[in-house]
Amino acid sequence: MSNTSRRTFLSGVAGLSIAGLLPGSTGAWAQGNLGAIKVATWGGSWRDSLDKQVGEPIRKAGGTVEYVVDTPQGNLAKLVAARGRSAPFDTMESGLELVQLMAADRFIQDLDYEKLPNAKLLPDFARAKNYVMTLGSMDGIVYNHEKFKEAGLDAPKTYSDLAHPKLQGKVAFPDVNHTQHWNAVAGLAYEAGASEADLTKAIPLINKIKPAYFFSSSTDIATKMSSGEIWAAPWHAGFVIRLRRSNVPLSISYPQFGTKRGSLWPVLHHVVRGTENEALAHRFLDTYLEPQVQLSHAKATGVLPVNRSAIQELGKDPETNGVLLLSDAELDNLFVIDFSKVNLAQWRSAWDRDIVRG
Amino acid sequence: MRIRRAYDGALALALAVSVVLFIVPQLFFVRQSFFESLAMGMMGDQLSFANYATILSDGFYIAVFVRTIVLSAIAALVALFIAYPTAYWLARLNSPVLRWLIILLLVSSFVSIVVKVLGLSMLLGSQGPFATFLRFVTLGWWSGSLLHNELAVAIGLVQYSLPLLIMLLFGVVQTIPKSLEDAALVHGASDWSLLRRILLPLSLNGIVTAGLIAFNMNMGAFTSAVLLGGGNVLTVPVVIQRKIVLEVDYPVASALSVLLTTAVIVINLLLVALRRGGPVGAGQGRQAA
Repeated sequence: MSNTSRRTFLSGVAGLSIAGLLPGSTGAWAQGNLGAIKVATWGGSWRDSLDKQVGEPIRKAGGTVEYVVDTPQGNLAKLVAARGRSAPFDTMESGLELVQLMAADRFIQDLDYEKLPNAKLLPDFARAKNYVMTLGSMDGIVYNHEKFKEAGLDAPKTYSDLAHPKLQGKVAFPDVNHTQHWNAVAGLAYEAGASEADLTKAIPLINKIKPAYFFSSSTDIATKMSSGEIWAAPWHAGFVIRLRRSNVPLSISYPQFGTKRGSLWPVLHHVVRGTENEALAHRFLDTYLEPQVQLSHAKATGVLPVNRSAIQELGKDPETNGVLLLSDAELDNLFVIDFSKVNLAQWRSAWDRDIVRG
Repeated sequence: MRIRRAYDGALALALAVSVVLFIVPQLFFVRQSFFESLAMGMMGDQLSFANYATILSDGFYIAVFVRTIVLSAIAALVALFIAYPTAYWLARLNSPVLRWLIILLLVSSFVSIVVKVLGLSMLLGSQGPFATFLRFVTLGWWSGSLLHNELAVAIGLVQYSLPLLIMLLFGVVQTIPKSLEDAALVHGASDWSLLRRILLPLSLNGIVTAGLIAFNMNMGAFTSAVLLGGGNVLTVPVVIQRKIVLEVDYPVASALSVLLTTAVIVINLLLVALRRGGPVGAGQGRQAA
């Protein structure tokens, strides 16, 4: 995802997509008995919002949508286990770390952009042969500003700040199977003078932070953040917005990644090879890309829509003020990890072996 | 004679179902464990011991096995120490309340392990009663957490096996005639000598069996290690899950699984062999009495 293409997107597609923001936009799809699909996605409030914003219109149009809830890695494992048999789901949300693996093993099919009219409203970088970037989470350090104030701590500026002695036992870190793991370790690698090309440089810093635990589900860390058991964690802005609704005093800070500030985690959507309802799978995906749906889902979950007009509308939402980075300059300056530089096997091995636990 | 044949046939059917449900899946694991992983669930076609050699020569895996065995053994012993007096008390309780207590025990053993573990995580969390009490008695000096460490996992394992152990030992204690205890007491035995010279020898076989069952359950326990360990406690089941889900490396996961099963069988056989040279158990005790 180059900055140039992102800038092109930020400045070029607003006019095209404004019309789509009008509520009730149904695109070019016909009504009728559409059959059923299964969508592999994350659970909790993410799935609830996805179902409300995308699943409901599909049901109204005569289709049935079910969800297979797991991490992207967990869902990929299900695809691998079902190799040679019918696919366990029809579409799937994933992240950059899995795309090459899934494409190489032909678990995902090429998208038919003729069936995705709303994808025309997206910038080039969001449209790939076998995925569409639907949204992105803004990753940083989520912290309880009241607990920090009580302890006399300033807002964390770097991931390394989480090693402060007053934070011992109060910091959680995303485990290797959690989506927010990657930007956090890349950030620490940058702070150690390296980059995503050598994530192992992050390990001494993680050991210095000595996290109280390593979370593998956002629901779990949300509970511990809400109870005040955990004060800070590398996580994403969406949960600041969601938990503030329950009066949990959370804020987010966006550390530097070299010259970049803050990090984006693109949420990708694939149609699974072997789906028996390719038409509905594409329809689900196209509905997901409708500007109004993008805006509503982004507002509900606190993430960044890809559609430019939806971003502009999101900027007017008071809930996002001071939480999401939404100006053109800020968006252009977000760090996006380059997985072609990451040695996944080496990192997973190092994560299991070299992290000091307990 | 015809009834006997039907009875034997039913037993043979049960054996066949057990073989299909237990041994056949294990054979798949054993077979997979001898092939090289080609990533993403694909396997090579050359048989080799490479996966076993990798695991057995790697300090990381050895440490994971040692941790799993030690945690399982400690949790089984602690559970025995709690379960035996409880089972004894229940077995000697001559009250209509007993039936309700047994039902309660049964119900508690049917509660999902996830629900049990989540309840424990609230109890052990830094906002829970134990941590609050510890902060209070240490005047705020102690501010840690009882969660996300080996202690928390061990407590989870004890909780996991305790209802079953109590049920098993309840049955064992019930086989010991109350008259033996009465006779010992009449002859001046103290409570301690009653326990040491009558109850424990007569229930030793049952205790060993129950302890081994708890140990075996603990060795394969995944939920407690994941939810209470919080990524800090890597046991063999957790590493197997990571191998399958994160790395999609079925051959190494299968080899780990085979080694885990082998370790459980060897430890059981060793204890049984040791037990053969030990004191008499309940059955023999009754005959002696």
